[in-house]
Amino acid sequence: MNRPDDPDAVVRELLRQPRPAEIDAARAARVRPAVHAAWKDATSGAGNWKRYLPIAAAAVVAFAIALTLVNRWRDSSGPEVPPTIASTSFVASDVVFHQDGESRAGRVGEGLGPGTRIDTRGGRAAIVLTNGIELRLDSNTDITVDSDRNISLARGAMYLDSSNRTGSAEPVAIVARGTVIRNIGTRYEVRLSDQELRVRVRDGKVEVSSAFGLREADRGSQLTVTSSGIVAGRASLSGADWDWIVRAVRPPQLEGRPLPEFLAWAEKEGGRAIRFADPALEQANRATIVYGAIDSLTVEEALDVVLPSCGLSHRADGEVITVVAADDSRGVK
Amino acid sequence: MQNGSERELVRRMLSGDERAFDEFYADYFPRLFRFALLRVRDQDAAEDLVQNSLIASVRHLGSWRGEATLFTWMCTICRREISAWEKRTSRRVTVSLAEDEPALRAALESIGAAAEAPDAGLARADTGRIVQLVLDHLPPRYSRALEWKYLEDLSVDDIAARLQCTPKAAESLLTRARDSFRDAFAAVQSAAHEVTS
Repeated sequence: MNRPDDPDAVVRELLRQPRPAEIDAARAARVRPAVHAAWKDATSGAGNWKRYLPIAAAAVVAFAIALTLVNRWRDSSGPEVPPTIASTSFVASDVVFHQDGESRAGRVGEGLGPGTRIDTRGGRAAIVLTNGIELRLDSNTDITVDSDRNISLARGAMYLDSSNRTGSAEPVAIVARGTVIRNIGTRYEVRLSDQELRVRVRDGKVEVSSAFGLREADRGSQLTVTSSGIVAGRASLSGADWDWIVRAVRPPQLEGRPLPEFLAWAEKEGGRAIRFADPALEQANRATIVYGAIDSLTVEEALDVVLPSCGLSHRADGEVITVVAADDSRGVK
Repeated sequence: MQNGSERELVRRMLSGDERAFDEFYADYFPRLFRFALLRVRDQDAAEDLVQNSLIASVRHLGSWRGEATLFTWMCTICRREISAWEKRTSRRVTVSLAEDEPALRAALESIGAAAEAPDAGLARADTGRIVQLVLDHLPPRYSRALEWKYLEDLSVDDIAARLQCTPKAAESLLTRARDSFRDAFAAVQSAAHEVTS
């Protein structure tokens, strides 16, 4: 028995009482990458702040003066405009935006502020971040646009295309169930289900940071993160399970456009290289004009519709599509 | 309760020190997880909530003024996450919590939540739970030093080495840690008794 005047013994006995079970280390490991990524983002460049202090102070003063003048000038009853970090480029069906405690139907051309949550439900949507990176959202997808560099994926699938990125080469971090996916100049899909998180890379390279360490995936490969580990494998670059990405953006307006423009679109969206069977055929079709619309068609369907109207056809050979003269295509497609 | 070491930790984190982040994460993930789990009673939900809370914490670390301990400040963020989670999921699992002096508020809330939880094992705040609660709310250096001394039986010299300070400073810190622990334990035990009786 402890003596009440022996503080050491009292504390020792208390500390040796059975306590709640230790926390599962796997949980701590799962959460860590996302927190670390947020911390890195928040502190990037923080070490150099003192160097910029005088400039910052002068900027603050200048900004305050400018703000005062602007406030005097503008109508004081006007609503405050939240910062826009993305805009909607495509919305289909019943997509819902949630922001500042309010929900509304998504509309094309709408500016999105930090913290906007998008639930595509049965529809699909595409947004473009201020840095030009495009995100396409499949149906039954739930994301939150935390900032122009951080997206949280709670459910469903998204396709990131950074080919039109402008400005900083800083990657966008997609955080999904403790795993952080960063693009390194690329196009890729992330799909989150109850059982796993799958990343398929169509172009470039992706960095995946999870409880199981840091892995990279490049063109044609995929990483699958489950509760028991991470599995690397090969991914198809085309096929029916990629078709949704074409249906999550506004279809290109091809009426009256040159054929090479259509083929460039088909190559980018379809994931397969497109070549003419011979240079003479390519030369002959350089100025061919396309007519008609390809709304709601997959890439494969669009090729089937457009090429015959130009006297052409195509044959698929693995990851390459060869455009041939219609006469040459009999029996080979 | 001193929080000079917390200020130092935050300062290092804001300057991008990776080791500071490691310390922060090792100290606060388990504490915040226990805090959230006690309220939502669902391990997976607690994990998500703690992830969101820690992300919000590291993003706004510069706004922590040191008026409350870092953990108390993070508990406030976590409470907001829990509240939002309840709205999203239409679940209501937390309860109205007792209020007392600020230093004990988080501890009292934990006990209050446990008292009304359906699990009989948590219906009464047992000694081990209170010990853990108090350790979670002490400055991390205090908690670590106490565990090294009383659970691992390390010498003062060894503790000084781990704390990277002189043996005299370690002895002084141990004394303060022990006094803080005893005072907080007595106060929380008393509050727990009032809530559960």
